[in-house]
Parts: sequence; C-alpha cells; structure tokens
Amino acid sequence: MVFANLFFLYAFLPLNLILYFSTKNRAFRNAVLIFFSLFFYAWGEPVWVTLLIFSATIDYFHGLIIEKYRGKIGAKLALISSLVLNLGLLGIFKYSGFFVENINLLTGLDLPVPAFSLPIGISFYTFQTLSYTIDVYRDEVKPQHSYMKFFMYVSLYSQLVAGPIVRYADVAIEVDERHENLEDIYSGTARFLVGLTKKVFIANVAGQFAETYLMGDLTKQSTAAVWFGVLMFSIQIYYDFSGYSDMAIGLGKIFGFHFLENFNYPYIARSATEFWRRWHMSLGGFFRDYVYIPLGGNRKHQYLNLFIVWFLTGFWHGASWNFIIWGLWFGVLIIIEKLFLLKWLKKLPVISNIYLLFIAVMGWVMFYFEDMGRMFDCFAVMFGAKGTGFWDISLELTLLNNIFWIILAVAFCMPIVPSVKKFIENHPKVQMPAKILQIPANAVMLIVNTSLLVGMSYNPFLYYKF
Amino acid sequence: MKIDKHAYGEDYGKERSDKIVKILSVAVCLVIIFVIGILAWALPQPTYSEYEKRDLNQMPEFSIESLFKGEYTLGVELAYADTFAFRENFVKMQAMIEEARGIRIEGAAIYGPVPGNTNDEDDKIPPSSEVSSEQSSESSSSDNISRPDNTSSSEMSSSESSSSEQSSESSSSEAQDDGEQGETVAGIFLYKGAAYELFGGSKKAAEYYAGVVNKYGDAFGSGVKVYNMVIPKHAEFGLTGRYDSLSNSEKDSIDYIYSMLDSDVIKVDAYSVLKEHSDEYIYFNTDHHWTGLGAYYAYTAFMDAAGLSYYDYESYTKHIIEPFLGTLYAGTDRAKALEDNPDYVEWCEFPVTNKTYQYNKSDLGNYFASSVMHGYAKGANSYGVFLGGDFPLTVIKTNVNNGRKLVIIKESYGNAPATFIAAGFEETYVVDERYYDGNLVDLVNSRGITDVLIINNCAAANTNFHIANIESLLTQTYSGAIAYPEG
Repeated sequence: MVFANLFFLYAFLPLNLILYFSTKNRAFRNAVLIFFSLFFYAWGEPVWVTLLIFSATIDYFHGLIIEKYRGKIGAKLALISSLVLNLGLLGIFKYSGFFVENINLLTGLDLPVPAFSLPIGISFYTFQTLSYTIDVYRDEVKPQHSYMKFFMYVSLYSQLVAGPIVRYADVAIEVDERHENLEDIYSGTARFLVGLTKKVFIANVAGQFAETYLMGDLTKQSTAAVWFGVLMFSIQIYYDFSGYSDMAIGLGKIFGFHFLENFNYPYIARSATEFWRRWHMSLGGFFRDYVYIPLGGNRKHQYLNLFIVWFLTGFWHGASWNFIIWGLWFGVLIIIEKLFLLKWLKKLPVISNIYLLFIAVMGWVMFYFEDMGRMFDCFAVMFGAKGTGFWDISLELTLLNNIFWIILAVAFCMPIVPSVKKFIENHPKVQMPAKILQIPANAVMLIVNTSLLVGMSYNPFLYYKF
Repeated sequence: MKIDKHAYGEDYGKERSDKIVKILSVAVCLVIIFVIGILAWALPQPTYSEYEKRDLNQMPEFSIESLFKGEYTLGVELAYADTFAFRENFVKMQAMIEEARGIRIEGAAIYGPVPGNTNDEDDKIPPSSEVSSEQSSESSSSDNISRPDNTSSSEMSSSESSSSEQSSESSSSEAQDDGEQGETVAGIFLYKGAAYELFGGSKKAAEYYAGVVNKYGDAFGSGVKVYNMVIPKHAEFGLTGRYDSLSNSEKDSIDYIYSMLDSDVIKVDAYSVLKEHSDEYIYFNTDHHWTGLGAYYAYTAFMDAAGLSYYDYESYTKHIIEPFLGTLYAGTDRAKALEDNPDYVEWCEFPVTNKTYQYNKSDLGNYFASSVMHGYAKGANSYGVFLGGDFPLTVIKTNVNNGRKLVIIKESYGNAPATFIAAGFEETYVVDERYYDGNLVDLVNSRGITDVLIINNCAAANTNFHIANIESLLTQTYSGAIAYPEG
C-alpha cells in the first residue's frame, strides 16, 4: 500500500488511529502498530512479507547473540551472519538478474536470468536491520530484548517502503517509552498533509509532464521540450521522495516517534558535496558510517573510499548500469570538489548555485534513462546536437497552461516554509492567527488532494527499483 | 516580590486557546476522514458513472491466487476509488483545479503528448510537392514495407496494447461506440471551444498501409474493383495560423499513400470535397469523429469514383440528437470550454427499403435483425446513431437492382459514410477490421462482391495496429461456419 491512496487515507488510516488511541496500554498500542504494518506491507507484497519477518527475526537474534558473546568470536560471527544474510537477500532479490545478465554478456554464456520481482522496500528495511546489528556490535546501542518491540521498529509502516532509513539508535528510547502528545499529533498531521500535497499536487503532475516529454521518441522533440521534460523529472523526484519522507515523519510523530530529517532543500546547495548533505540524508549517513569511515574515511586511500561509496550509492538505487553511472558522476564531482573546486565555489554565490543545479539535472538524465541509447539521445537533443529546433508551440502552450503551478513548484524547492516559520517565531503577534489559519489549511490540503486522487489516474510509485 | 497574577492568568488563557486551536486543527482532518470514510462504505455503490460515461470498477472476487498475484488488493483499491463517496463532485473539482494551473489564451490548451516534427529522415512524410518525383524510388524499395514498425513514436502505440475492450456484449437494441479504442492517442489541442486530435504520422506506417492496400488490389478477380479512401481529420482544417504547426500535414500523408498505390486501386479523393466545405459543420468539436454532413461529402466523392449517382443532401429526412459531448470532452478531462459548446448529431433516414443484420463480436455464426440508423443513440454515444456503433459485420440489403455488391472495410470513421453509401448498392457488407474474424477473400468470393472500399481516417492509416488488422483480414480464417442472411 502507499500513502497517497484513497484506500489508505479513508479506510486504513482511520481504523489504525481508532484502534491505536482507543487505549493507553503500551503493549496493545505496539501490537496495533505491528498488525497494521504487516497488513500494510502484505497488501502490496502478500508473498514477500515473509522476507520482512525473516529479516527482522534473524537480526533480533543477532543482537542478542552479540550481547551474550561480546568481545568473543561469537559476536563477530553473528555480525558476519547478519551481513551475509541481509546483503544476501538484497543480492538475490535485487541484483541476481543484473549479475547474471552481465555475466552472460561478458562470457557469451546463456545462463537463465532469475526474474524475481523486487519486494517493495527491501533496500530500506534490510539497511535498517543491518544498522541495528552493526550498532549493537559496536556497543553504540543496547540490543532490544523484546521481540515485539524490535519487530515493531523494523516493520513500522510509516517508513517501511520509501524511507527514511531510520536507525535503531535514533528511536531506541521511543520504541521502549514514548509519549504521544497533542503537540506532536498537531505538527505530525500538518507535516503529513504537506507531504501528501507535495506528492499529489506537485510530483504526480510533474511526473505526467516528464513522461509526456521523455517517454516518446526524443529525436522528435525540440531542445526546449526535452529540457522541460528533464526539469519536470527533477521536480517530480524531489517532491515525490521528500513528500514521502514528510509523510513518514508526520505519521511517526502522530504515533510518538521522532525520525531524523531526510531532505533539506537540496536544490539550494552550492556543490555536489553539499547536495548530498541535503538529499536523502539517511542514506548518505548510512554509507558514511558503515562504509566510508570503516574503509578508512579520509585517513587512508580517501579517493578509493569515495569511489566505492558512490558506486554503492548509485547501485543501491537500482540494479542497472545507469544508476551506477549516476552514482559515479557524483563521486567524480565530489572528488574534483575536494581537490580544488570547493574553494572556488564558496567564493562564487550565484555561479555555484547554477553549477549545482546543472550537475544535478544532468544526473537526473542518467537516473531516468535505463536505456543508454535513449540517455545519449536525450543529452544530444538537450545540447542541440540533433538539430531538432529549439522551441515549439506546444511547449509554449504547456508552459502557459500551467504557469501558476510551475511557479509554485519551483518556488517551494526553496526554503520558503522555514523562513515563514522563523518569521512567525520572531513575531508573537502573528502566532495565534497563523495557528488558526492552519485549521482551514489542513482541510483544504486534504480535500484538494482527495479530489486529485479521485480524478487522476496517474499516480506512480517510484521506489520499486530501490 | 510581587507576583503578577494578571499576567499569569493571561498566559494560562493563551495556553488554553493554543490547545483548542491545535485540537481543532487535527479534528478538522479527522472529521473529514471519518465522515467520508464511513460514507464510502455506507452509501450505495454505483456501478456506472453517467458523468464519466463509463462502467465503474467493482469489488473483485476474493481468491488466494488473485491475492498472491497482487490482483485482489489492486482490485479493491480501484473499486474503492471508483465508488468513492461524492466521487462526481471530487472529479469535477479535479477538473477545475487542473484548468486553474495556468493561463489559456483564447482557450488554447494542450493535453497529452504532442506529435513532434520528426527529424528522423527515415520516418518523415515528404511534402506533397515532392511526392511525385520521389515516387519511383520509393516504390522500388517497397518490399520491406510490410514490417510493423514498433520503434516509431509513442503516440502510435500507447492505447493499442491496452485495448480496453469495453464490455462488448452488445445486444441489438443498444447502440455501442468503441470510442478511442485502437485509435492513435495523439495529444489534443483545445482552442475556442473545439478540441482537435493532433496528427503525427509516420512515413514507415504510411508505406506499410499503402502496401497492404495494394495487396487488396491483387487479392480478387478482375471483376472486383478496389477503392481506397483516406479521410483527413478535424485538425487538418481547423488549425490555422501559428497553431498550424502543432499537427503535421494530413494532406502530405494522404498524398504520399496515394502516390504508392498501384493503378488497380481506385483512389477516392475525399480531401478536396471536405476542404471545399471545411467551413461547414463537418467535424464534431467535442468528439474525434466527423459529422454526418462530412461523411455525406465523402460519400459523394466515392459514388463519383464508383460511377454511381448520389442523393442530394436536401432530399433526406433529417433528425437531430443533442447535446453531444464526445470522446474529446473526456480526453480533455471534461474541459469547461467544450461543455459550454456541445455538439449535435444530425442524421438522415436511410432512403431506400432495406433489411439490415448485425453480428456480435467473436460470433459470426449468428446474426440478428438490426437497422442502418439507430436513432435512439444519445449522450456520449451519439455517434453510435450510424450503424449502432462498431459491429464486426453489418449486412445491409436494399431493393436497389444494379448488380453491385460492396464490402466496406473500416474503423469507426467508416460508420457514418456507410449509412449513405449502402443506399446505392444491392448489398453492403460493412466489416470492422478490428473485430471481424472471418476471411475477406472468402467473403468477397462467396457473396459475389463487385466493389471493395477500404476507408480509414488518416491517423488510422498511419497506425500499425489498424494496418496489421486490415492486412490479416486477407489471410485469417474463422474457425466456425459463418452464417449469412439469405433472401
């Protein structure tokens, strides 16, 4: 199931809320969350829900074994077992087809290509359980002794299918003891609705334009039209992904969990280095703490470490070469920035913004096209190498027909909301009116998004490949 | 120390009102979710949407198999969305929000993919002026044209694979119209209260089409005349000025096709007569079809080509069906501009005594008595007045006595002209290339056919799906015995 869906909003969620808040009994509330999470996951993956249970169960025991044999070989074995099993799951379900295809290509063999359908969210929850076992091994967090509580952490539906990657250490206290309260429910509700609006009102519309302008024969499009399509995809993936994170964070708050932020206005970054401190922060943090630093970080063979991390970052997004290219594109840029570019960029405010937007958008072209031929066609048309003409009247009409929406979509890539919040904080007189305004704002967001969900057929889920 | 009780009280009051506002802020969402959520279950579940003119998804049957395949849960979500409380109001609101996203100068708006001006020289239709000089070189390379080409533009294929066979169980008393099925899904341009389907076109597809038509030229004995008519659509005449470039030239495409036809295929020039009357009401503004009047003009062109006389338009007894909001109204998410400017369908009574029979899909073993005109057609299906919609085979027998028997091979564009043309022949067999399962050579031979007309709109003549259907009519065989109405 996904959040931006009528069945979720008007059937699943209200039932979940009623049952959850019907009693203050902690064990009952946890059980409700587990039940609804399993239902949520099994709704989309009735078969592979078994993998989720398997992954959670083995790492529960890994944690206990590590604690029992701390400092001994047993602990190490449990850690290795966790790595092998979790990465093995990913390897089999996500990468086996890719590996066999490439082996066939290289060797000319004709091995049968395994065709597993990728279980939704497997890349997110295997990373969560991995982080748990590693953190326990490092003695950075105490293992969870209650299977129920651990299972609730792994299966919690708010971040199960599209992130953020929530580390156990960040919510360990709240798994045991959390205090749902009005303040959190209030801000969580608003946060969820903002995320829903980002997904339904912006991302879905942008996605439709991206598809219109990028799915067909690119060599029949004008240069401006392909740029528009690529920019629309850049808008779509930001609003979709960060919208999902907003919804996850909002839902978590309603149930008393506080997840870390996952996006921080990445498009205002001024370097690739900074972009990745603002984009999908939970993934960047994961690779930093569990790959980059263990490899030696910036102390030994830093560039090799960076290369490995960015190769893996790309590969994590999908078992296809274009994602690897996309990851390495950022890896190379970050290395160049470390060598000399970053110093210059810091001195060049506007140019550095343009630089980042340019490389990010180029990156999205690599991300969008799994077919290399189409990727090159796209670049060729974008830079006028196909002679398709710069402008066309249909694009002009599309721009005019959607001009207000485009202005909104671009504007909210910038930190308008935090600025407004800060202004309200500094001006006590507007605090109450602002809060009162939140009441109709919530209602409008809910009703508008509902009408768009009822009326629109286009509502893709982008994370099947992750 | 002096305690300011007043200030304390004020703070307390502030805190309280703060709490109330927060509760209200959450409560308003809860009320909406719960009220609509409960109504979604409690209200009667509609099965058909009059507003959207379609059957609504119903709750699926539960089975372990469909659950494991993920079909069951998907079905529940679809049915839930389709039977949602206040659905119609929400859909209208969505259309309003969509129209409010920007500016529409003189109502100009664009929907969906636009057929770009191809730069792929291999697939670019040559302008008419160049056709004659290119002809010789083109026809020499025509050996490889009958290859369905799937690499061409997306507008060619997106709807074909997902052919939404609308609940096709049609009884004789029910007008049916398959609407967009199998038609190209090009973008739609909306301007001054009229919607136009944009034309892309493909040189390769046009060559394929001409090759298939030429096969018809060779398929029958010398006593059978084969005609081809390719009809321009509304965008060809309706788009002017700077918007003209939105749609590629249909004239170029038609001329290119005709230039490749062998001399034994008679080319029917509908284009000229339609152009001559292009300021009349020959196309609908809210539907992708042409009007009866447009079809009438094409009919006169065909009768000239066939050496037969035609009726004066004034001589028909006419009726009007209104209002008519057709497929393009749906395709523009029910644009307000079209709603304010609905079409009407003027239809003419069939002028000669006749017996008419029709067949249901996938069943050529049985026919039922029907009629040429279906005057009860209404609403979004008003174009269904012509032949009652798309049946695999319609047989029209008249009291005409001229020894001429005709087969018409058509998609839905052919329905309207068939209702005029049939009055000039003893027997007319109207075959829908999408649904007819029989063999066309058998039909021609067994029924003593003298004339075969392949009639297509220009988009269909550039769409591999249609062309492949027309091609396979010559070779496919029907598994059972086909029943023909005798006498």
